Amino acid sequence: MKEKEARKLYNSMTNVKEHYIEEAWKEKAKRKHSIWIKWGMAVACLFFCVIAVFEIPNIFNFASVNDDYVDAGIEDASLDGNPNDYGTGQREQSDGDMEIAEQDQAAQKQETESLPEVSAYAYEGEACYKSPNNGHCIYSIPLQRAMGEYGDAVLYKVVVDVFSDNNMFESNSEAVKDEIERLAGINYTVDFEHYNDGTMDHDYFVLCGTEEQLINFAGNDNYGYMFWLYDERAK
Amino acid sequence: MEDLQIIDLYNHRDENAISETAKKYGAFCQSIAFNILTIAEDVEECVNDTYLQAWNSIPPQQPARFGAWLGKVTRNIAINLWNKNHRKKRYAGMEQLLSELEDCIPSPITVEHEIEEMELTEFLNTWLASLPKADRILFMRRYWNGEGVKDLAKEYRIMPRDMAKRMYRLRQSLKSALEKEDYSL
Repeated sequence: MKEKEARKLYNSMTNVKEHYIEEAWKEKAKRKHSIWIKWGMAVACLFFCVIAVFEIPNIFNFASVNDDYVDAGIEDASLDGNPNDYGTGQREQSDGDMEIAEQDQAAQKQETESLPEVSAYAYEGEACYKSPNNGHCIYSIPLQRAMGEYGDAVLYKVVVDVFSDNNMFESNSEAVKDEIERLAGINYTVDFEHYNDGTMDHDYFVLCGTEEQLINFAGNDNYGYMFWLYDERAK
Repeated sequence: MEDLQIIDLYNHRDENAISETAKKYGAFCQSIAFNILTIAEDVEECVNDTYLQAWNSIPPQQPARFGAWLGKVTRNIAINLWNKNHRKKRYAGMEQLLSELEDCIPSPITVEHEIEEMELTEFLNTWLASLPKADRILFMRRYWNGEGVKDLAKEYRIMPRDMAKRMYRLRQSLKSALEKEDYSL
C-alpha cells in the first residue's frame, strides 16, 4: 500500500538541487581516486622493498670482505668497525720485533705515499649515521663505496670526527690534537687543517691512509671515530 | 574534455558531443540506470536514451552542471522504463529502494494535506540542506544513485549492519521532518 507513496518520494528526489547530486557523485569519485592512491602507495612500497632486497646484500658483501674487523650496521647504513685488535697486536710486539716492524712500516709508508689519492666519490643518496660508540669506527657510505671500488690501490684522504661517549669533540680541541699527535707517532699520515672562509673558522682532522689503515684503524679505546671522504666534509 | 566544450559540441550539432559525453559520463549514467533497472539490456537502452535526450535538449537548454543534469535525465528515463516494464520483468534495484523508502512515509492519521511532487522536491531540498554533509552524501548515494548498502559499507570501512542502521536513522529523520510539517504523500 505504501509503494505508491514511496514511488512518489523516489520520483521527487530526481529533481533535487543539482549541487547535491554533484556533491554525492564527486565524493564517490574522490573515494575511488583515494583507493587508487592507496594502491599506488602500496605498489611503490613494494618497489622499494624489492630495491632494498637487492641493495642490502651489496652492503653485506662489502662488509664480509673485511669480516674479521668490520660489523655492518643496516640501521644507519654504515659500517661499524672495532679497531681494538690492531692496537692490541702492536702492543704485544717485543723490542726487537718493534725495530723490524718500524723498518717495515717506513718502507711501507714510502711505498704507499706513491699511491693515487681519493678524496671524493660520486654518490647521490643521503644517509644518516649514528654516533660511533667508544672503540668503534663508522665509515660514510661514499667512503665505503670508494673502498669497495678501489680497495688498496689508492690512498683515501678522509676527515675524521672523534667522539667520546657519543659526543663529538670540536676539531680544534686538545683531545683531537692529542689524537693527531698519537696517530702521527704510529706512522699515520695525519694533519690538522685550519682555514677561514671569510665568515668563520673551519678546523679538520685530516687523515690520508690505505684501506687497511682505515679498516684496522689504531684508535683509542676511549674514543669513537667517524670517517668521511675529504670532500664530503671539508668542501 | 571540459563540460562547456562538450556543450559547445551539442550547440554546433557536432556528433562528437555524444562520444565525448559517453567518455566522460558514460559510467556515471550506467551506474544510475543499473542501480534502478539491474538488467543490462535495459540499462543500455536507458543510457542511449539519455544521450538522445541530451542531443534533443541542447540547445536550447544549457545545463550549468552538465554531469548532474545528465544524471537526472538518466534517472528519469530509468524510472519510466521501470514503471513501463516492472509488471513484466523483475527488477531488483528500484524495488529494494522503494521498500526501504516506505519507512519514510508518515502515518496518515497525523497529516493534514497531501504534498505535490514539486512541493515534495522543495521539501527534500530543505531537509537535505539541514543534514550534515556526510549524511547528505550518504543519503544521496543510496537513494538517488541507488548504490548498495554493502558497497557503501565497504567503501566507508564499516560493517554493512552499521551502514544499514545509519540509513535507517536517516529515513526516520526524513519521516519525522515530513510529520512535523503535517505532510502526507
